Amino acid sequence: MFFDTWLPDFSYLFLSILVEGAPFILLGTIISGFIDVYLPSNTMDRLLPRSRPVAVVMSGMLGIIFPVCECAVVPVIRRLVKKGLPPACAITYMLAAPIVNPVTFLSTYSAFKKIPLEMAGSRLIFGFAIAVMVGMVILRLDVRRILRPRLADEVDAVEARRAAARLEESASHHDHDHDHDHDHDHDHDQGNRLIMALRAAMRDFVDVGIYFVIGITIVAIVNTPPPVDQETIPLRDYIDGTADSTLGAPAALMGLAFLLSLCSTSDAFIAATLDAFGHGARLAFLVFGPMMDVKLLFLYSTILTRRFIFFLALALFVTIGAVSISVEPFFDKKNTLPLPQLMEQ
Amino acid sequence: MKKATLNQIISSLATIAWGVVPVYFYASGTIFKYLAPSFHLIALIGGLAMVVLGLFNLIHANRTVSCGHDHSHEHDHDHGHDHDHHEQNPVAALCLMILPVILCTGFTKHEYSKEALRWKGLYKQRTLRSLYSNYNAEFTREYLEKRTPKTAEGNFLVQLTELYWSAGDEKIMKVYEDLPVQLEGRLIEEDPDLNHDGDRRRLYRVVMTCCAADAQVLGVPLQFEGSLPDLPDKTWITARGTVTFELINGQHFAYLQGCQVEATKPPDPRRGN
Repeated sequence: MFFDTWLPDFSYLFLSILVEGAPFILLGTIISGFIDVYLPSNTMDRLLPRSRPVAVVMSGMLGIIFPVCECAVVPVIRRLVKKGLPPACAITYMLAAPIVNPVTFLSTYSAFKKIPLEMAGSRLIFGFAIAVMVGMVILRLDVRRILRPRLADEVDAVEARRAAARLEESASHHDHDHDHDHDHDHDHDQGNRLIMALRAAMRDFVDVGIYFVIGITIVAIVNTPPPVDQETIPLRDYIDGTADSTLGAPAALMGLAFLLSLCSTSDAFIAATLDAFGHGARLAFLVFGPMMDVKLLFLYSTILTRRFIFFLALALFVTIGAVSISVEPFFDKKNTLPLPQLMEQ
Repeated sequence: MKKATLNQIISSLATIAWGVVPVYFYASGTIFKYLAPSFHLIALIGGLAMVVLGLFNLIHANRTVSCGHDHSHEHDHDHGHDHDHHEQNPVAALCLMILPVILCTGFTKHEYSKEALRWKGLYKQRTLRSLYSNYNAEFTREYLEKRTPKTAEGNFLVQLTELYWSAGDEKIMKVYEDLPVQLEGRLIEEDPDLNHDGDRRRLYRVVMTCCAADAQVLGVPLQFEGSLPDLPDKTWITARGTVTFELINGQHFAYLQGCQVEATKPPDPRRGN
């Protein structure tokens, strides 16, 4: 049974998720490779507002200009953090970008034909608000509690360089005779730089790919019928059983989103078919999934400490669950309106 | 060979291996069994890009490149370059990126086994009330007849999915009740618990939104008046019969009565399985 059915089914699922997700990871890592070589370290300082809270809010909206899904965003922000993007801004962008972007908005809009604007709009607003909330909390935390030690070291090095640059700048203001002689050549060989960019892209691709494989292996195992003789109950049947529970429905759908690890650009079409559930619970599915799922758990661990990921997952689960429960009555009210297109009424 | 060069070569091979899979699936037409159509071109372009990236780095694996400045200089001002130079573990890249892809490509049958089809809901009836509420006009028999093409024998060419989702909404069920239809799908044995008289088999389609992992299997029973068709499981068929609904354990199921089936070619592979 293992070799006849389980392994072929597992392989089928594994490959399907791989060929779906890998191009997006590649896109992210190519951007990351070029950022590494071509983006000067102090660019972030110039682009972001000086006020960190304002910078966090702006980061939550960056997805509108740079729309990326959750697989592509991880390598990009990993590199941007190394280039000096404050971790709070990076994580805000990482959580918000898969939701606060035009592709996700349009797919949600077209999936929910009954209340398109309400669903797409509330997904965008809550996704943005929750990402910014997380960013604001991170502003108060020590970088070493959030980032992996090696990345934290690099962030410290960037900070040290910034401080040195500021000192140098203020010294030059006071001593105009200071002769600072940059004698190394910045006109690098463009061919070398391209090789370096593509080498960095591939290094990131393999780095992230290794964690992606672990994540999708778990997703494929969960979605493959176990290789046992007695009949087992599929995940979906457990989930359907919670549809009428106020607390259970959003929790179950967030659990489903976590295990299915769908792409944020098309998960709305799955959410639309879960119509035994209320819209609030489905909103939880649509907001939680792009922020935290099995494959992301492993992708995030290329940047974040395990402890932080655990608390982030817990905080997202509780907050999004609470939001979903609190907005459910508004959706219910909407559904009972005698709209002519609601045929079942 | 230097460790850095070895790492570079293994990473390049891993990237190529990942790129070859979607390109091969696309070229062989099997991509339709793995991904929803909106992802096909993305997978192809991504696969080609992975192959190019891997080959480029493989060709330049031995080349030492420098960003043109001395990284060892003492004063640490911001000169715009802070590349990380860490190396991956080549064993990790080999075991976690190359081997799983080779093994899975070898083991996959490009479709679900019968056990997985059952697990994915082949014999389950789910309801989707919102489907028909999406129509702005009243969904009536006249509306259905007007918008649905017919065969020469007078059977309506209905999609299996719309018939499947019609069960559960009593108003919609009335529209479909007793409608002569022709469906296309794959034949499989009926669940013994739903086939007490032994006169049924089932027609199914796999519907995916992103990829096979999120696929739902939708099945509609076919009831035969004579002997059951002597066709192997998973054969593509055209089924003709009359739509009927039955109530089992408080839930409505659609099925086709008085069925006639014939083996057919799979539909255009670009339409999925």
